[in-house]
Amino acid sequence: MRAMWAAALLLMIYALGWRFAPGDPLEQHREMARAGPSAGHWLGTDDFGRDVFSRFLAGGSWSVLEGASATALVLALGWICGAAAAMRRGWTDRILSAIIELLLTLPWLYLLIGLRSLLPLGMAPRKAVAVMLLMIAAVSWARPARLVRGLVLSLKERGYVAAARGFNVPEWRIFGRHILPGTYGLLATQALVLFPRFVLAEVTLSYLGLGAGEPDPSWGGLIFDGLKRAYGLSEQWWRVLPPILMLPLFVSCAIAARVAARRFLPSR
Amino acid sequence: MRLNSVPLSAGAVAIMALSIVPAKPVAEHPVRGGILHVAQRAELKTFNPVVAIDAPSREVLWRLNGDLLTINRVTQKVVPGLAESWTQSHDGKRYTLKLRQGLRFSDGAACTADDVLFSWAVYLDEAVQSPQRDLLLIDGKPIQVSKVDEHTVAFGLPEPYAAAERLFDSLAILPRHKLESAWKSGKLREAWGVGTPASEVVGMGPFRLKEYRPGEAILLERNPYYWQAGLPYLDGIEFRLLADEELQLARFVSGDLDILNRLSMQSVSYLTSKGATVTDLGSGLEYNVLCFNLSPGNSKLGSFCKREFRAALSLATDREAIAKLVYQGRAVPLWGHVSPGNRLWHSSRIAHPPLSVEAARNQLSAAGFRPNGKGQLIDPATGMPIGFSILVSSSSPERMQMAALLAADWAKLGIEVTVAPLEFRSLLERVLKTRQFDTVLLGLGGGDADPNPEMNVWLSSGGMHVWNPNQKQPATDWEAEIDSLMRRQMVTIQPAERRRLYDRVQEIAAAQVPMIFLASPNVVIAQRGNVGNFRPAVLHHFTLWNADELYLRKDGSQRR
Repeated sequence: MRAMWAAALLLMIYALGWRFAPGDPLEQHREMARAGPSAGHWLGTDDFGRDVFSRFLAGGSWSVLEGASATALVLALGWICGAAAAMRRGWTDRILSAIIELLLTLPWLYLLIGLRSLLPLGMAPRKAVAVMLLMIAAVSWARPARLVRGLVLSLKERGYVAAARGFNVPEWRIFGRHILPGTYGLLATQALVLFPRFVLAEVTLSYLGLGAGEPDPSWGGLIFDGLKRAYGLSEQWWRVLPPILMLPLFVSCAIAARVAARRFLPSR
Repeated sequence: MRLNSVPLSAGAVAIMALSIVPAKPVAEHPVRGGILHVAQRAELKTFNPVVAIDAPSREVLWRLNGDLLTINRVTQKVVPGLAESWTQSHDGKRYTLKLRQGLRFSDGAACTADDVLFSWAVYLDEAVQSPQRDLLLIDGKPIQVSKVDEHTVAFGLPEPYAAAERLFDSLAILPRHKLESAWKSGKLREAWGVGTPASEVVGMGPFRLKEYRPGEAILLERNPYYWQAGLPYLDGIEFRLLADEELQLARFVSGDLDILNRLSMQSVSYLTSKGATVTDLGSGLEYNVLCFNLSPGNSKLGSFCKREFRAALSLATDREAIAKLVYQGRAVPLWGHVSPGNRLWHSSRIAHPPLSVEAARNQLSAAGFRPNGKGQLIDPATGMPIGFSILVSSSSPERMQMAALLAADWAKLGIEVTVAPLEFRSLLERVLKTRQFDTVLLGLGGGDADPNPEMNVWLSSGGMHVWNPNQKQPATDWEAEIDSLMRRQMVTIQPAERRRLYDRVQEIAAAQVPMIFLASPNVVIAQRGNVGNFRPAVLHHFTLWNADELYLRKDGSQRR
């Protein structure tokens, strides 16, 4: 439970971090490039004299918000398709299951690189990343859909569902009252699995040079730009270390929250 | 003409050593013996110099093979190689080369005019698809070769071609006795693959293949039949396969490597922090440019086609910041396409207008571009705010940074600029084929110092005329003038007149601004201080071009 609260608190800090940024994360002060930490710039400045702390906060907000958006979309799609396949069975189930199998085999990284080259060049890099993350989401709903389908199939066979059918309760009412609530726990744990994964996806995109990109900050961009420019941690460690430390901390919180959720959330 | 995905260049102005490395050989007696250890970034693809196109293969093959004439990488001038002398006819259409007496391949077989004729026939054979073939065609017609006697060959050019002697550089003379049967049976492309026994790979270079250990190293040994008596000094060269740059640095610092070729700027910073000897050779031949898409059909053509618009953007470009922030001061700001590193062709007459946002605004205003109430620059033709994207390779952090600086510079003029990173092949597809881009940030140059290899950039009909390629007729008067100047310089034999013509090309390019010239990065290399006769240059191949003269000092710092 504590982990859940800690994760929630961290999320709040990350998501709203840009509001507390002491400076404009995009404003360049070229005469102050690569300065060390100081009272005015807690984490120093980057190659263009931009305040690294402000970029760290703003980048965190972006990474968290895009991760949350992609997670919500995946869960919505996965839940609808999985539940529909299980409830309808027949052709609906067969077609949706075939699509799920197909999506699970797609090489999403190559898809993304190809997709990036098709997007309009005038699209701001941040919007382009958002589109790409939505695309990841569009091909990532298969796994939660498969889990939801399996769970709904199992729930349909429970005694209390059979009893409701015996009393001629309509299917939609059985679904709403007896089956739907049984999927909440699964959705919550899936959210905690997918959310850090999508945040890490942004880091991967940045590593490939296809992330938010200049001039917008993001965790992935800060880490890899910092590592490339500062050559590991030997120089300007203050610039590279915060996002490097924050990322595993964030993922660890998500894992701890998932473990706590398994105990805390109701399961039927 | 080469288009660089990653910084690669050549050309130099000054030697700026961080730690003291003698640029000229000091008076000391070369010592024979020892193996030089260098890094190799990727696995070899072939030992066949006719078909090798990848840099790792060519890097090794240059040591194994000899050319008739060669470019001294320091002076950037042509000097004798396997040919001891050459003469040129008055009309510039016939070159006669006299081979040295007693030339032998690395297996001991004699090398004669017949081998030169055989090599020429192979390179020109369309079925072989040699990458060198295009270099041997002038206006689509091949350079003919004929045997005068056993040691003299004559080359007939279809048209006069200035500096034609430079074509012979890096063109390996092939052993007819080893490769003729493969060529006649149509299997020359497959010959001398990486599985070929070392004794079968024969050349005229200072070294010959001793051992190839896939995934580990390529070991070359001294060629006992090398034409220069007493050379090479080294017993051999070992190319160690180290794909990762950080691994190379670590091995260099630990003493396992003697030389590092062409360092990135962050590697320089790392090495200097470790106390290594790093030599900055100054500006290379590569030049970074922002190129406008001036092809018909581009939606931004209304603004881009106005010279004043392009010139105003150039005025508002902080080139000093690019050199200082992106390349950490190891680059030269550029206002023309020939970098100071190209000592033979750099024009000092190109104007260097200082950075001035105010002057840029005035120029835009005079051309009808004025800001609206929100500070956005308005296109007078459409009444809409001006904005465009900069296409940039996602694999080049330096160019990504340059694009970010340009976007910030031009935001001061009220122009919204979007940086669009793309994977390099997708970028090339858009720039060279579909033409779906507004502007693109590229690295050009880096080959020879001579203007002729860049004909396809400057001729309006050229495929690499990036701002508007493959034109049937020049779209503008100034492009027509450049066409004329480039064609004339190509067939002008007198150096001074050639120089005058090419200076004019540089002036027109700088004045018309089809590309905004940004910066030329320096060539930086590192060595451990134990290599004698070490004369790195900014032309390819930066450090090992005089491998036959290099030696290892016995009293210097020694490898473990």
